[in-house]
Amino acid sequence: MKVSMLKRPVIMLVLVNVLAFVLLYSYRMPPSANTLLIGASILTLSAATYLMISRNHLGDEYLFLIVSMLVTIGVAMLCRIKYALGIAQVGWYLIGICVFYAAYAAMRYVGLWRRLKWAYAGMSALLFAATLAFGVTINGSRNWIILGGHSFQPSEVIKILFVFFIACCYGQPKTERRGKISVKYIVTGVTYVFMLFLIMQREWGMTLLFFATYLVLTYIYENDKLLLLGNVLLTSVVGLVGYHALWHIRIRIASWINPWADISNTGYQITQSLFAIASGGFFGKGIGLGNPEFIPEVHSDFIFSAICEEMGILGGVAVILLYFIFVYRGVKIALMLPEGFEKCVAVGLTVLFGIQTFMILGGVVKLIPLTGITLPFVSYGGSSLVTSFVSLGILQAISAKRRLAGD
Amino acid sequence: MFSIYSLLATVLKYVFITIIYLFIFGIIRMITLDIRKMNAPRPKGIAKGTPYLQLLTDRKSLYFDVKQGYPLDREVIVIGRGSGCDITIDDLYMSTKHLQLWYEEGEWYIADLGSSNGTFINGKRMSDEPLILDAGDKIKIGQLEFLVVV
Repeated sequence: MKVSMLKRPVIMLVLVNVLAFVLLYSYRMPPSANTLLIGASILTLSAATYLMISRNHLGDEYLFLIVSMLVTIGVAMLCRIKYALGIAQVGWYLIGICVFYAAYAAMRYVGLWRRLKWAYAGMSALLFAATLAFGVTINGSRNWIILGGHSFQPSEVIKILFVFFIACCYGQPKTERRGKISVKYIVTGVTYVFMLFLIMQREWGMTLLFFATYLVLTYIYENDKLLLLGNVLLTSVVGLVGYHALWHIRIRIASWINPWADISNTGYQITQSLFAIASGGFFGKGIGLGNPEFIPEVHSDFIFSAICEEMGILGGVAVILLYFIFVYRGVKIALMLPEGFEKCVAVGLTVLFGIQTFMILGGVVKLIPLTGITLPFVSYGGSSLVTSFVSLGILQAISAKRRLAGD
Repeated sequence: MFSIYSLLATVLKYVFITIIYLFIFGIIRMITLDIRKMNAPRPKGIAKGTPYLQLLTDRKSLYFDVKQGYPLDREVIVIGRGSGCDITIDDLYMSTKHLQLWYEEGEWYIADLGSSNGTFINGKRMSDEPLILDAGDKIKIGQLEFLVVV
């Protein structure tokens, strides 16, 4: 049973890319050859990396294919919304592919990652401290560091360090664990310290993301219902106190329950997003024929609404399905591995992607309160795209891992 | 000019949706084909609990005799074209003694016995170093591909 050449998904990827960028070429007046150049460079990068992976058997073939489709949709949408951002995103994609290979090689051929438990925690603490000391406030969150003219978000890097730290703890065989304090309490303690830092930076989305990842991994690895229950109770109490004490959170919740009450101010973003999704209908208005520019932050957090407006709810569901298959492959990779550090890293990174996607998609369709995090691989943003590719490279390396008989 | 563009964009929006869904179905199809291969029924004559090699290559396309499955029921198993091997397969692309599998401390190991056409594990030619076999690994020798079922 061979899949015929024409039906292969990579051909579909090429078709989408060519059609989208030819369409965008005729959309922009005056037509600029740059548009075609953007399409061609994305296509070359994606196809070359895909062939590299499938020819040389560098592990799972589907992960990168799914991601390159997401990136293609994202860049096409960005070129349509804000042309300059589309061009910048191609640059980030190029850097992303480079770090993808670097992360792949580092994870595949360097064996000491499982032994750096406290280095991960220390690095994270250092980055947090640096953010608090030199951080710049953008959109109400003090979570950016400006380095040599480029701003980057340290919490994106800490996300990966956090997963590695947990994997060092939970991935260690129970027989090899030493020390008086059980690892689950160490992990719990470190998670709460991280969350405290994130709250100090007013990064509510990241706080929730870290906590949810911790909760899922603890549920998987530790059979301790009391700990989970205690966590949920404690955070509920803290959440309630936070709701009453901090106006930031009160506004978020209020604009989630009823954004129409204050439509011109706090509810503006979410209502514009809902208008955009609704006006798209099933098949959308067509690229370039909608008005996604009415939504604030449409290039980063709200890009999904723009996709729904111009490609329809069917296009939106397709994007969700892509993430769904991605998470499925991640879980599958983790399940096929022997117990240990790599398995925990694989499941941790997959959970991170899954929860982040759910949080931002749920936010823009008013399913859950809105938290300002990016849609992985689609939203504009250097830190987000590059660190997503680091995670992807790590997952890719883990999926290709073979044990040598000497180990 | 603008109306031509809106016509184009309107037509293409249907095309986009179709292609993206074809892409998704293509991936799901490839994944299910993979799973179906992995979950083929246990060949006859192999006792439950015994690890075995499952043939993935279609037998109809072969000119020589080969079984659908080979049990790994001894400590050391040599596979090759020669009649002295534990598993003899008359594939011209195989060496007289092609590879050896053995069981040691709870793991199955594989080593190539200096074959001329090589042994491929999950698509990668193995070196002289022995490897540990995991369930679901694919071994390609000559024209045949086997799946390790434990």
